[in-house]
Amino acid sequence: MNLRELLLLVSLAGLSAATVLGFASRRPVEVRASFLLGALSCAITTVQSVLVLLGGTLPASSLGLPGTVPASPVLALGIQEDPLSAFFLLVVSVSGSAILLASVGYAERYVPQRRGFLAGGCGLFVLTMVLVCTAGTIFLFLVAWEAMTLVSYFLVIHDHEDAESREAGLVYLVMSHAATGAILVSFLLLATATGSTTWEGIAAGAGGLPPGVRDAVFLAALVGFGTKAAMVPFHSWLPDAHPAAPSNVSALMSGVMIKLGIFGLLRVVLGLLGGGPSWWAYTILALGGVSALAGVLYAIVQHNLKRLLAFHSIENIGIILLGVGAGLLFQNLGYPALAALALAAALLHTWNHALFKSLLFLGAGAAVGETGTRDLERMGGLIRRMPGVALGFFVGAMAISALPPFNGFVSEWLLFQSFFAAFSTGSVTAEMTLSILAAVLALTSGLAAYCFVKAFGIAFLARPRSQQAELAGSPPSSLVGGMGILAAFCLALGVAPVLALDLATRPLRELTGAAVGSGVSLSVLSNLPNGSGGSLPLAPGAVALLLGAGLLVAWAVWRIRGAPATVVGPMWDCGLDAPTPRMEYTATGYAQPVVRIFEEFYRPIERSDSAPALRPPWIVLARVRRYTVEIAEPIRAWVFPPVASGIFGLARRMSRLQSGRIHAYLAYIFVTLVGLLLLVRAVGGPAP
Amino acid sequence: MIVLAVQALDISAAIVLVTAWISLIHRRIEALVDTYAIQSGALGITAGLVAYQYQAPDIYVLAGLTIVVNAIVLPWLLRRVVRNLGVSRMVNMYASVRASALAGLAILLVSVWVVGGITPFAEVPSAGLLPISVAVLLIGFFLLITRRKAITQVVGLLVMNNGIFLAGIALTYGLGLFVELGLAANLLVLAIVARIFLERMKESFDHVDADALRALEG
Repeated sequence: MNLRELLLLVSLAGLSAATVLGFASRRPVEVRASFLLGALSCAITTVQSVLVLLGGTLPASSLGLPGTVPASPVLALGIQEDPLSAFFLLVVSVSGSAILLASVGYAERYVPQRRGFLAGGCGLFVLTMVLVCTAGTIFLFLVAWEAMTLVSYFLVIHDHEDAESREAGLVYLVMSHAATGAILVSFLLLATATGSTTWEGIAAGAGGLPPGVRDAVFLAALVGFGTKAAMVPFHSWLPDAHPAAPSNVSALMSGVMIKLGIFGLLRVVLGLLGGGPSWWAYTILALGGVSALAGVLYAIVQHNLKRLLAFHSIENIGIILLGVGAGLLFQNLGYPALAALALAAALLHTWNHALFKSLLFLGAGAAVGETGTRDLERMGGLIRRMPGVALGFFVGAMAISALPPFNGFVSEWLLFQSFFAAFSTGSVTAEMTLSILAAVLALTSGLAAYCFVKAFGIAFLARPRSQQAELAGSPPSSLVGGMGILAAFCLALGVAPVLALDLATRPLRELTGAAVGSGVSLSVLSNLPNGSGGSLPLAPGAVALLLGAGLLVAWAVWRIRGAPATVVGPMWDCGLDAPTPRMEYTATGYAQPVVRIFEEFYRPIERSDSAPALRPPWIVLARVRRYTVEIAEPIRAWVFPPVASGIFGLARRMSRLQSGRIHAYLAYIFVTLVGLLLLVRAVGGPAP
Repeated sequence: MIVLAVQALDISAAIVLVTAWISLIHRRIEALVDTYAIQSGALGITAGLVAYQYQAPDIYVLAGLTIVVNAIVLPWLLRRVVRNLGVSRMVNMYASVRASALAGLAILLVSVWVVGGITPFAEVPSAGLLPISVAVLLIGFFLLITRRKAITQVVGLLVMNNGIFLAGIALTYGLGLFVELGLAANLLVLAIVARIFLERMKESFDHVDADALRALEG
């Protein structure tokens, strides 16, 4: 047993212990210990995954689960960690570690009851995610996957006294189960067609499958993993589930769990099937584009901070899918280096999103916890009350808006580069599609920045908009510390992207067959056929130089001019007497221009009430006006009700079959028997 | 002699089939039981003829057993149940007599058509018995479905069992003596259990209508 295996076993054991400790805890110190143990195990996993990424695959044979002997291929319960697994393990463990650390304070301060359950559940949740990443067989994968879904369901309904939580949990559970069904279909198709249940065995046999089977596997996997990743139109569980859960759980789910949908998709489409026809790529690209744009557009009009963040998860999943689709397309066209570039952008964005979305959700958790409301319109002025959280949230907002020097910029920039590189492929369809999608991506990033100006500005700046916001205190230090770790990662990956990119390209050597050398990073770009890549590489040295020079100039200016004097004066109040928080810019007002521009998309229902503020005869002088905009989500409003009522109707009709009458059951058997006999006869009977 | 035996075999098998069909049109339980007794007797004779044809001594044992258990003991038990229960001796059914009779004919057609298509069986000398046995099986099943009283369902089950037995001797010259002995023992136990069960049912619910079990539905 070498170091990598030992570390993995240690971290699995640590997470198991954290789970048990959490569930069994009686005293607060045990809850705290459970979270800390989980965070430590995650940190170990981080080290382990980096070692595997640098050192190569951990084969299934070398690491069976302790104490199990694979009796048959079906039961071969093995752990395997190839570079793809290791990369996603890295994604899971870095965010997981920071979130579990932050949970110590979060749970203590903001979760009034069942803290032990929360701690144990979080530990188990991370454990199942680690297992999903490292499963080497479809059997273990499905068990871990389903366990992950169930644990997260129970965490979503942690506040089960709240009817909204229960409903959100139910929607999540139902959709996840349907998704698991689709995944099961795709895996069973693969397993029966190739006669193997391990990744290696399936990958070896999947190449020779008939196109129809491969298409079916692809579609089933896309629906199944797409639901978990919250890809439009399978996203509707997410905007409800994230706000309903405690914020650290939201961070785990939105930051980490939905990425595993991407993992599964990559595993099946690239790892097992080894790519496919171009319509696969175009399907993923179309869904990614729709997800990105719809996600950000809906995010802009949300006034519930956590719901806003939830919609941004859909947007970012869309961006990741754009990278995946572009990668598949380039591979199909025969440009493995470009495919590697697009997929590297997707993988990097996956990691980046895991970092900054966890950061943002933890920040939102602090804001929501301290003010007791999720409504942006009731926050405000929090930057004075929780400067550390505000700084962390600001970093996250910059990163998610793809602004340098943070990590979101790097991955989206890479994605743009790969899209523009389509012009060297000579395929007109690819050129057209990717240039349109580049525009979509640009619009998405712009709108994301717009949205986070709103989120940060309304929540943290200006004066408190309610008494709750005024009374908000300072959040616990471990929560701020967890955010600090994530913010540091966001910055580090932003200024030194080459390190992260090196890790992100490791899995791609196997997946794309690209000649991606070690430490490649961006040099793939200079290998472009038409040489257009010459100007592209992002030279870390140059960036550092520029940054350093900028800082130097700033410092010099500051030195020469001296520190600017702080002048305190009265606020400009437009001639009114005392400005009240009601006069501040509101979230609704800030979103208005976008609602107007995209009116066709939103179809807003506007309501404007006015009521007399004073009794007659002064009614003429003042009226209280209240303007609200309601946005119906078309997919939610038009697609899901018919589907849901169809399913319920079918279930009712099915239940009529269950008459409870013995004769009826016998009749079913009789009809089936006769039908089968006739079928056998019609088909021609068994071969002699 | 063999030729005669073959003709006798055809006749006795035909009796098994016709009695199965007739059991569909009886309205009184005793008549149903009597028909079952005749069918079992014919079945025992059929088994005996098969045994003679193939010179298989263990099938003689089965034939004797069938006559004793299926044709004498079980009908006797069933008649006692009917008498002791003292309920209406009418066969309550979901399908009318005419519909049942037509369904019986349809079942026969289906069986002949279906079994005729199964080629591997055509090589077995007594394969002619196979369509009959499937038809008897399905008619028994049909009885099970369309007769309301639990006791008539027991008869349906017994008719099904006769069909299986016939298929067994047609294809394998007996399913194997011990299997068949086990089956016979099972039947006896079934009949006894059914009797006790029916009497308890009568005591508890004052009827033996299986349809009333719906009251248990949640």
